[in-house]
Amino acid sequence: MLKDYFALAVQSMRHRHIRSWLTMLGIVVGVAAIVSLIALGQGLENSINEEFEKIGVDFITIMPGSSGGVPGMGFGAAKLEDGDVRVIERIKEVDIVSPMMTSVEKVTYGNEERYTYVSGMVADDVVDMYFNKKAYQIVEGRVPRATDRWKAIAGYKVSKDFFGKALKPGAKVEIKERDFKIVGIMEEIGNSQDDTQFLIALEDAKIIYDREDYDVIMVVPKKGQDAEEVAEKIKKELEDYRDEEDFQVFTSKQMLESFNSVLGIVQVILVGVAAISLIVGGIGIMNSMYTSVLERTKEIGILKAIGATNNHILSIFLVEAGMMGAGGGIVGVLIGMGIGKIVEIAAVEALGTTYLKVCFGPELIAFSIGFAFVVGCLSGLLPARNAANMDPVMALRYE
Amino acid sequence: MKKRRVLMELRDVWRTYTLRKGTEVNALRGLSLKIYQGEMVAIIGPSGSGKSSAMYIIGALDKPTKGKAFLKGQDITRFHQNHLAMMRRREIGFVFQSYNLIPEYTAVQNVWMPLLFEDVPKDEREARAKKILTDLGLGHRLDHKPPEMSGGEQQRVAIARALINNPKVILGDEPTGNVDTKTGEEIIAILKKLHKKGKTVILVTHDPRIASHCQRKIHIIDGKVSQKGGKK
Ligand SMILES: Nc1ncnc2c1ncn2[C@@H]1O[C@H](COP(=O)(O)OP(=O)(O)OP(=O)(O)O)[C@@H](O)[C@H]1O
Ligand SMILES: [Mg+2]
Repeated sequence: MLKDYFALAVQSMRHRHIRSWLTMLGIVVGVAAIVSLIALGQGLENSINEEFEKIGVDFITIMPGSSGGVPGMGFGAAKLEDGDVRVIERIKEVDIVSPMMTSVEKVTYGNEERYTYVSGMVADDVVDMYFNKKAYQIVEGRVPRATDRWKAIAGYKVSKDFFGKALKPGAKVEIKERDFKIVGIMEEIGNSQDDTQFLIALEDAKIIYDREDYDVIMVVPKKGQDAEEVAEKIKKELEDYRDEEDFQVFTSKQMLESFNSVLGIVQVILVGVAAISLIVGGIGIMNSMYTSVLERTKEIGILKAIGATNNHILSIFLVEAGMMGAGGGIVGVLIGMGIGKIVEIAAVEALGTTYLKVCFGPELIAFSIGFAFVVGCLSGLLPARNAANMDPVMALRYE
Repeated sequence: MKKRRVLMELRDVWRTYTLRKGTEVNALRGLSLKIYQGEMVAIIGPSGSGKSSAMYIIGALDKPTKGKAFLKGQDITRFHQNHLAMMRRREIGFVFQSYNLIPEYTAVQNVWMPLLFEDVPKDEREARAKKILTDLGLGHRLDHKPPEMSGGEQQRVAIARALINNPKVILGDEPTGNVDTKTGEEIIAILKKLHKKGKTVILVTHDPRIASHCQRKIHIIDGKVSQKGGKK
């Protein structure tokens, strides 16, 4: 007959609806925070992993500067130059060694100016690493060619609304006062940095940037080679050559792993904070149930007089507390989904990233509501026991 | 007087309430009485004499501090509280002066509450509650809540609730205390009818006119049966 107790709890909550809502609010806030944080974190992790899967996990990246613990966060004045490229090329386990230069530059289209990333790359390497593997595709125009000079490939957003008017292959842009002809448009990648970039030939980049050092060297090991072992080898060879470990070598798998572990830690902290608000919500339920038990002392006496056992009374109040938790949980899940969705949209609008995709698994929803129900029941346990253990005569005489 | 079966018996019952400060109040001081099967009996006495306290013990809602209480020959002071709750559900129906209905429940819900504790399914509970309420002339008040009903109507709902489990005993603690004389007469008429149908009816009252409807009166003064009221 548990169903009947649920029905009575709903009736009682509706009777005291304002207080019920206020009581549930604590749970609503906690659950909404947990749901949106987990959904966003999970979504972010999923899209990053997807991205890595697309380009493959056996890339090796070499960057100048010493490591600050996190890959890609190198500092210092060390430079990677042609000598380093040649050292790596001599290693027999490597297939492609592709130096790249990247910098934020002024790009002019028509009479509009924008500042964005312009990367110089070796055309054949780029084609091998990305386009042939179908990691990225050209949606308009063609892939870069080794013979291309003063030509550029533009990111997806560039072709759409980056400038006042759309940009098609054949269009002319000015990068650092030099004319470039657009020959291809890349598909949408999902983050604004990649989607607003321009790819040009490495030789041209050297000329317009007026420097010879590289910002990054990408290495693809030969088929069947273990990326991690090759990375170690590159590290050793470069160290011998440079006499110093003023560079970083990491595989994309390591990058993914360290990214995931950072994300995991951040998520645990955020969800921990949210869980505290859930505990506060539980205390709110406990407080409200104590008040309710006191208010309904007479009712408890009546119920005992007409034959309720202590367990019956316990069930009545426990179910009500649990419902309060579950109700807050349901509303919290809905609000949390709303917040997640808003953040997702805001991320696209404001940051231009589609990586922040919310992911609401059915487990997340079921777990959140179930957890809120349990928090409610636990919070209701002591007040409900108070109610159950009341002396019937004293309760009945209570006015 | 015919020899009749004893249904309930209190034997030298003391009930001491301990106040928060530690002072003790002896509400019952060696009360002994017998209730016979099928009789309609009044318990009368001045205010504070211990009538309600006695009533709670007779109704298995409370245990004596000292002494024994028997229901159908069984010493209920030894029973576990769950057992007492079951006896209250099945053997006894309470009717109170202040009706003691649950204000947020409808008449039907109030009446079927005791059946909920017997795990009777909802449909059956509702059907039985509606039948009893209709029999008591409340067919037009089934979905009304107590605050929307007159005192007489509320007391009839309370009687319906007392009857829902078809108990042998009806305990009324001044059931007419809160209603006017005419409504009081109606309620007494209902109780007399129940008595005629074989129920044992115990009425606490200090109104001699109400008591005069009963075959027997038990006078309580200072927590004991007063001898001047006759033999116990
Ligand atoms: N919970 C309690 N704590 C302390 N004293 C109590 C308690 N309940 C009742 N008493 C005292 O016990 C005595 C008997 O009370 P009881 O309610 O049984 O009397 P009563 O005959 O029903 O009175 P009334 O006619 O006014 O209803 C009274 O003196 C009362 O003050
Ligand atoms: Mg009384």
